[in-house]
Amino acid sequence: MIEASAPMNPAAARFFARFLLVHTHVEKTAGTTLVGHLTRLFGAEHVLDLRSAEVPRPAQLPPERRQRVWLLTGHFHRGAHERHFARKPIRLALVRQPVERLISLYKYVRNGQGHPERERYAYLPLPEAVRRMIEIGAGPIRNQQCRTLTGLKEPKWSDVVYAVERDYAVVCTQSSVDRLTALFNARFGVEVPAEALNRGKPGVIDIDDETLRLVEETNALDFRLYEYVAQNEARLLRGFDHLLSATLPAAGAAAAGTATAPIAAATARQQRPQPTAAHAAHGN
Amino acid sequence: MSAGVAAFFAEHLFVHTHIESTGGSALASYLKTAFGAARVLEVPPDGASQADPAAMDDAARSEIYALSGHFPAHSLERHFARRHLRIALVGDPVARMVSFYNDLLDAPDHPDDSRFARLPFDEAVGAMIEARFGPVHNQQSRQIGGKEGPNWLGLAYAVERDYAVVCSQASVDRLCAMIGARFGLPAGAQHTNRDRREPFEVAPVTAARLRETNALDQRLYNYVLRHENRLLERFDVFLEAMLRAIDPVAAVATSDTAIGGTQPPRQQHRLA
Repeated sequence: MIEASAPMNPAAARFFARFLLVHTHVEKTAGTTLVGHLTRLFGAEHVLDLRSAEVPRPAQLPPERRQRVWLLTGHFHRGAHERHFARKPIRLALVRQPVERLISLYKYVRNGQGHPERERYAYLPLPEAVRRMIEIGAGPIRNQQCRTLTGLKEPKWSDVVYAVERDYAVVCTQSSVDRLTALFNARFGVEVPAEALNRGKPGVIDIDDETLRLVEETNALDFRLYEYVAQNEARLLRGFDHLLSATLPAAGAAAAGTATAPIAAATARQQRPQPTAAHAAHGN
Repeated sequence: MSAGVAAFFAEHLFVHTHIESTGGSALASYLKTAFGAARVLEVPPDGASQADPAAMDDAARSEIYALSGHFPAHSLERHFARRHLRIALVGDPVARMVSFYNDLLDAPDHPDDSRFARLPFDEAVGAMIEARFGPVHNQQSRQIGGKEGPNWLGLAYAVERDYAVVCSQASVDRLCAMIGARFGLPAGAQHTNRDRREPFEVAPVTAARLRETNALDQRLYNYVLRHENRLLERFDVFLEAMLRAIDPVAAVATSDTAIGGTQPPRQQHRLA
C-alpha cells in the first residue's frame, strides 16, 4: 500500500477542484514510476488507475468519488474518459525510443505469466515476435505511441506535433521521469524520494539488422516523435513548470526559488542515456 | 505565399480575441495585409456580425484563415471545424484606459462618445466604472477567461494552455514579424490606432482606482509581461514544427528568421 506524504501544498485542493491530471500511460515508458510517485505524493484515494479491468471506469463512479480523483491514469488514448470530469484536463505523457521500448515490453510480457499479450507473441523469439506483432496488429508497433497520444488510428506528423505542443501540458522522455517527479515535488511542496518501479531484469537482447529495419519502417512516426520530444523536452518541461507555478502559487513561492529550479536539480542527477547498438533494455 | 499556408489553414484557424486598446487593430490589420482581407473575418463589437460565421456555408468558412473581434474566447470559433489557435494581446490597465478615452475623443460616431468623452478623464473613469463600461472591471480577464469568467486559476490556464500565444501590446510588432517570417510573408504591422493624441499624466488617485478595480487584469498583464519571451518562443516553435510537418521545403526556407532572427538553428527532424 502506497501512503501519501504530508503536508501537501494547501493550494492543492483548490487546484484539483478546477483541474484534473490525466496521464496517458504508454506501456514501458516509466509510467509506473510516475504513477507510483504521484500516488505517494497525493495519496491513493486521489489516483484512479484504469490499468486493471476490475477498477470501475469514471462513467461508473458516483460524482463524489469522481471529485476525489486528482490523477486519472491508464493505457487509454488522449481524451478518453475526460468528459466525465467537469474539470480542465492537464495531460501528461512519457515516450520512449521505439526499439528500446519494444525490447523492454517483449521482455516484460515474456517474463510476466499473467500478461494478456503473452500468448499472442511473447512465446516466440524476438524476430518472430516482431513479425507476429505486425501481422496481428498488437504490441508496440505501427506507431502505437503516436496513435495513443493523438487518439487517431492513422495520425499524420502534424497531428503528432499538435498533440505534443497543444493537447498535452507536458510530454517528456522515459529517461526524464526523475525530472518530472522532481518538478511535482517542488510545486506540491512535498519531498517524496524518487523510486523506480516496474523495472525489468537487466539483460541485453540483440536485434538483427533486418528486424531492426522492419521495426524502423513500421514505426517511423514513433521514432520521429521520440526525437522531437528529446530535442524539445527542456522547453516542454519548463512550460509545464510555469503552468503549475502559476496555478499553485503557494508551493511555487515556498518550494522553489525560481521556476526552473526543480528541473535543474533533477537534471543534475541524471543524464539521458543514448540508444546503444545492442539496444540493451535495462529496466522498465 | 506557399502552398503550405493553405494546407496549414485547412487544419487550423487563428482566433484573435481582440481586446480594445491593446494593439489588436494593428494585429488584425497585419493579418489582413499578409493573408488577404478576405481571409480575415472581423466581428464587430456589437455582435451584429457583418458576416456571421454561423450563417456561412462550409465553402465560405473554408476561405477564412483568421477570426478577429471583440468576442469572448470560445464563443464563435465553434463554427469552424479546425484546430483553434487563440491569440490575444493584453495591456496595462491604466495605459489602456488612456488609449480608450483618447479613442472616444477621436471617434465622434462611437456609440458611447456622448456618454463619456464629454467628461474630463477622471470623471469619465468614475462613470465607466459605475456603468461597467469599457476597460474596467477586469475586462481583459473576462474576455480571455471566456464563459468561466475571471479568476486567476482559469486565467493562468487560459494563457498557458487555451491560448497559442498571449503577449503584451508592446510586442505586437514582434508577433507580426514572427508570423510573417514563419509564413514567408512581409513583416510590418500598421499601427492604425496608435498615438493620435498625446498621452497624458493620470492622477495618482485615478490610477490607483483603475488598478484596484482591475486587479486581475493587472495581474494578467504582469504575468504576460514576465513570460512573453517564452510564450512567443513557444508559438514560434509550434508554427515552425507544424509548417515543417505540412510543407517541409517552405518551412526550412523560413526557419531561424523569426523573433528577430535571434533563435539558434534547430535541427531538422530526421526519420530514424
